[in-house]
Amino acid sequence: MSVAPIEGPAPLVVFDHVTKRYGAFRLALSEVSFAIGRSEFVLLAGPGGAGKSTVLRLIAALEVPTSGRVIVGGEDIARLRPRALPFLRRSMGVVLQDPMLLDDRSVLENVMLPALASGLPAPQAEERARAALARVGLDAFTARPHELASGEQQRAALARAIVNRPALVLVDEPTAHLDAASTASILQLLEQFAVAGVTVIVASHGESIGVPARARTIRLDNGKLVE
Amino acid sequence: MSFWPPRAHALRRALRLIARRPGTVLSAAILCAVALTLPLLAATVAVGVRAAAAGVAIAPELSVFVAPAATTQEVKSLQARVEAVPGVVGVRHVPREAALAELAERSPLGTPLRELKMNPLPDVLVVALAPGISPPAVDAAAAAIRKLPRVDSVQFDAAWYRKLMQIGRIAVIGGAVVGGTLLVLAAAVLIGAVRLLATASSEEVRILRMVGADEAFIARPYAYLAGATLTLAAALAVGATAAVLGLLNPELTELSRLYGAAGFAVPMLPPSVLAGFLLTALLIGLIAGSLGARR
Repeated sequence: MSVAPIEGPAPLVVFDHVTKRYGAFRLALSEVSFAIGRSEFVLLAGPGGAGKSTVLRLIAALEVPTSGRVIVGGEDIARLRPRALPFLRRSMGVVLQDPMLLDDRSVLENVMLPALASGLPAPQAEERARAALARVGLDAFTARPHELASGEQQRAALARAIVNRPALVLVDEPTAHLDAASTASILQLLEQFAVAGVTVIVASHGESIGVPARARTIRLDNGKLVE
Repeated sequence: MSFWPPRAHALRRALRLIARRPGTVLSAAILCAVALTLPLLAATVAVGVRAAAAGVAIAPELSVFVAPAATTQEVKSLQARVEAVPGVVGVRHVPREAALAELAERSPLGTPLRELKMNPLPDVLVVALAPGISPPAVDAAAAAIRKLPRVDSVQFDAAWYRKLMQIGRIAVIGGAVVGGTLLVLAAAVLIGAVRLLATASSEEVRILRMVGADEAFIARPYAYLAGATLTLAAALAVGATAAVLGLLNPELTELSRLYGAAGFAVPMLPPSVLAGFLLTALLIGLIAGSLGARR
């Protein structure tokens, strides 16, 4: 296994010669290997179609690799029993390009969802959700997602991602719907998480989005790792 | 994971789902109610009729013709031995003299019969068998009696009894099959309705999986929704049955009076049975909803 060098003890995420195909012809990732340590801030960079979102989806166990191994927290996601998947996902927060918020409930209720799914009573879940929303600077608790601007929706999705105090946060294209100021504040927030011991992986097509200086960049192009 | 919080959340979600699509839920409940009303009504009528018929026990009888040469002592001894045969609950002795007198009474040949020098009729033992005894047990009792000394012949019109028992069995099996089929139909309707609702909420299901919800957490609101729907359907079926009985009973009472019987009416099933019916509907609904919402 050839993985990129990392600091610290056991890595949190390991990609070991991972290939992912969609159907017979679309190759999203080809023989990709890397490792990400705990409390690292990693920028997954590359143009559109490079395979960044696929990497995030594989880490979140929303997909399984066609070949190779994806190991998260010491577990091979392809070998995890279906019953164990929810526990893995509760230990991470995911913000995809589409914020994926439910319009039939308020922003607060959307943010409460992961806490409720973890078995927290509603009052505690609400308390955590309010704290998470305050952390991302959003106070529109009772608003419906469609009433929010794109940037606010992104913040709400980020609040939902951190409500369970995850060890790993995955963010796909945080700048897609944000202005420069909002992007900076979101990245600053993610940097604070990393400093607090959370592993943060941000996928972006642009490398100049203002990631912290200590961030490690993993470049992908056309499904392959660029050295 | 704590026990109550996910269930409380599921209950709130189920109520919201009902509020969001009351028409879908109500139409599914009405469809299921139609399917449940027929077996419930049939069971109510069957139980009512059985209770009414309990006083009129259908018990087969055998007629044992004693050999003409048997003495009174031998007939008494035979009667005691017949009473000991399994399945026999009573034996009535009709002496040959009483039989001739009765025949003379009823027959247009009364006077010539009374003037006969010798009584041609035998003593008869009328044997009552246990109510509900199976036809093979009747045959076995008749065979055992036939082997006893001083028995000339044993008569039993088994055909009507066999037919009656067979009709009873067919009614029970038919009722169970039809009732079971309709219950499965109600569950299938419910699974379809839940699947439809779950498909309409596929975005929600995707998000729930992404944030770490397990399958039970995802399916539980739909299970509660289906449980509530089938319980509502069962309650509607109970109401419909009561309404049908309300229409039917005056006519039945009138009909029974025309036949000279006391006013007959089919009562509603006892509250404990109806509560069991509602509980069963709730359980089947929970299972059907859970199945419908699974991937």
